[in-house]
Amino acid sequence: MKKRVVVKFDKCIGCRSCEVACAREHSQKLRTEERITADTNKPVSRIAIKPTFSDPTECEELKPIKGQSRNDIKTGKAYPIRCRHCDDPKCVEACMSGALMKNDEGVVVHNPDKCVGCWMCIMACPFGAIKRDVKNKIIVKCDLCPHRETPACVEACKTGAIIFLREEEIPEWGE
Amino acid sequence: MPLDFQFKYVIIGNSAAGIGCVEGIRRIDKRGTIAIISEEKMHTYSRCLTSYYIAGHVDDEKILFRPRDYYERKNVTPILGKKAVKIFPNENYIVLNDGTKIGYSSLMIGTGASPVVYDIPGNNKPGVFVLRTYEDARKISEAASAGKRAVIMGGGLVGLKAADALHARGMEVWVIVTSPQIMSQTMDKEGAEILRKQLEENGIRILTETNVEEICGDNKVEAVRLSTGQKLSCDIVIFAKGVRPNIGLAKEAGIQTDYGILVDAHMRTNVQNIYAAGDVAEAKDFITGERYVHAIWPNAVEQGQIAGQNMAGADVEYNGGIAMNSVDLFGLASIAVGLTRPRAKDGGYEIISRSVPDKKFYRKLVLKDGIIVGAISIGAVEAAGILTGLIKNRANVSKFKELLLSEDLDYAKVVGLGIASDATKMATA
Ligand SMILES: Cc1cc2nc3c(=O)[nH]c(=O)nc-3n(C[C@H](O)[C@H](O)[C@H](O)COP(=O)(O)OP(=O)(O)OC[C@H]3O[C@@H](n4cnc5c(N)ncnc54)[C@H](O)[C@@H]3O)c2cc1C
Ligand code: SF4
Ligand code: SF4
Repeated sequence: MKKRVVVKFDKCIGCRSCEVACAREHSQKLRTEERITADTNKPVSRIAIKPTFSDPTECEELKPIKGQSRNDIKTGKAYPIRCRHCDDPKCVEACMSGALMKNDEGVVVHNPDKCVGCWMCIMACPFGAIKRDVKNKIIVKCDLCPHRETPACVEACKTGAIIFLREEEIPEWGE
Repeated sequence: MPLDFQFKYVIIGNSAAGIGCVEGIRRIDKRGTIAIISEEKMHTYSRCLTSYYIAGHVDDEKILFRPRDYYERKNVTPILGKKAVKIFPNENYIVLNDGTKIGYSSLMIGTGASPVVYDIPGNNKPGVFVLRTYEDARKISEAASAGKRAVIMGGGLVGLKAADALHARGMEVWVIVTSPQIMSQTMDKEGAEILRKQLEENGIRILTETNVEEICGDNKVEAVRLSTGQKLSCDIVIFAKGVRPNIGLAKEAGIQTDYGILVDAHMRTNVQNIYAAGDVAEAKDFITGERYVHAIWPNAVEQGQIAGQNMAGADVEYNGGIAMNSVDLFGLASIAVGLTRPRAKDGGYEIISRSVPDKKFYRKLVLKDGIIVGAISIGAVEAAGILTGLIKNRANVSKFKELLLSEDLDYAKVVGLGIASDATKMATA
């Protein structure tokens, strides 16, 4: 049974709990605080909450939006950027080392041992969902937390903006 | 006429286009028999990794771009180490160099391209190499020797990647470039200058507007004579001055060719049930609509996938290829996509750019009637894919083009601007 992460942008308040949860999940040491305060090898979140510009004419002067949480998103609406595990993943097409592959469950998986840091995938992903780990010369991106029942970001999201659904549940839910 | 084997699908070429084709077929047809043929013995390896192999960063295992059990998993019969020598398009079979006759229902030609070795004196001396195959990489790797000098002819992607690799092996590297700048196919002048500086700061010597006129030496490479009259002693020479599509097999079979094998939007040749993809194929260009050979990895994979799906009975059209390249040189990332250096006489282009020399940041956009047709990112390249997406969406960005130059551009910023095709309220992943 294939499950997918669904993001309901309207519900995101920009609290960034998902970022912390993701970074923590993907750090080798369990104690996030340690990793975050350490100078080297900071844990990297595979999800990023960024502000949008709701109206292009407002690019210069952005207004805070109502009901926004206290965080650094002072402009525009909060928007989670993460890998969508596309049906026709352009990153996989571009990956010349075979580090990125789409598996039988539809997950676009990345093998850091094979990655050579050529950034071909970054060039190809239209969502800008891939980050560089410059120090290790590899990329990082959402892996849907293969070792967990529910992805860390989903579990951390308390507003229901990021949810995990079975594929067949998605159309009913969409608006 | 008795055949030795019969397959539903036969693919000539076991590289980007060939593997793309396998994956395209298997999306539609899980069972139909597939044979993939290559004159090279290696399991499916990535030639883009050959320079990393020379540098010592990838080994015989990591150079493979699909797992060892790939053929079994995909239910494909590999026929490796054998060359296809003739296609009989009317009788639907091909012949290999050992005489084996293989029948097909549909055939895909993904024979790629070969390096061009220019006709200059001494071009066949021991110590002269090209870099295309695993075998080439192995030979160069054996010849590489710390403290010795390598001369690389050509300042394109292959030349610079070879330079990087041989430098990593402790060689003194000279890159000799005919044009006034490196990466003249993809990068604009300003970007090329930044990359040149990066290379030179790290010890690579670059001579532009210079040619190698002769490779000197009694029994092996000892020096090159340059168009400047200078003689440069060296131990190895690498030809990296471009490639030419391997169209011989197709041409002889009566398949329409020009520079490459001519294909339509379904990657079909003019001959029934024969398709072509990758470096050998001359397919639609996304920006001009004319046929063009974009000899790059992502295009080869995509074209192969489209050919494969169509061979298996689907109806998938190719949007057209876009030039794109990504290369990381001594830690400086650079990505160029689409039309990055429109010629002045073409007119009608608007060019905007921003550079922050301290951070080695450079971004440039080429627009035509407000539509983004080309982009360069150097340094912080995280947003490069978003720009690629905007090019592919033919997005009109005239109202917020300045925003696209910002260093911290991310996808959220383009959402809601009406340019991201899927700026919906819901995204699934
Ligand atoms: C050193 C190097 C670095 C590169 N780096 C990059 C990069 O960073 N980014 C990028 O986009 N591109 C890069 N490229 C280009 C990229 O490798 C090609 O675009 C890509 O390999 C094209 O794939 P293809 O399948 O069309 O052809 P090829 O890779 O050329 O494969 C052709 C296949 O056909 C087989 N073949 C040919 N003729 C016959 C025959 N008669 N019988 C049987 N088999 C035959 C060959 O053995 C091979 O398996 C690089 C190339 C090189 C050489
Ligand atoms: S990295 Fe980008 S292209 Fe690749 S699957 Fe994720 S969203 Fe799609
Ligand atoms: S950076 Fe790594 S994952 Fe991305 S294309 Fe290159 S090898 Fe593949």
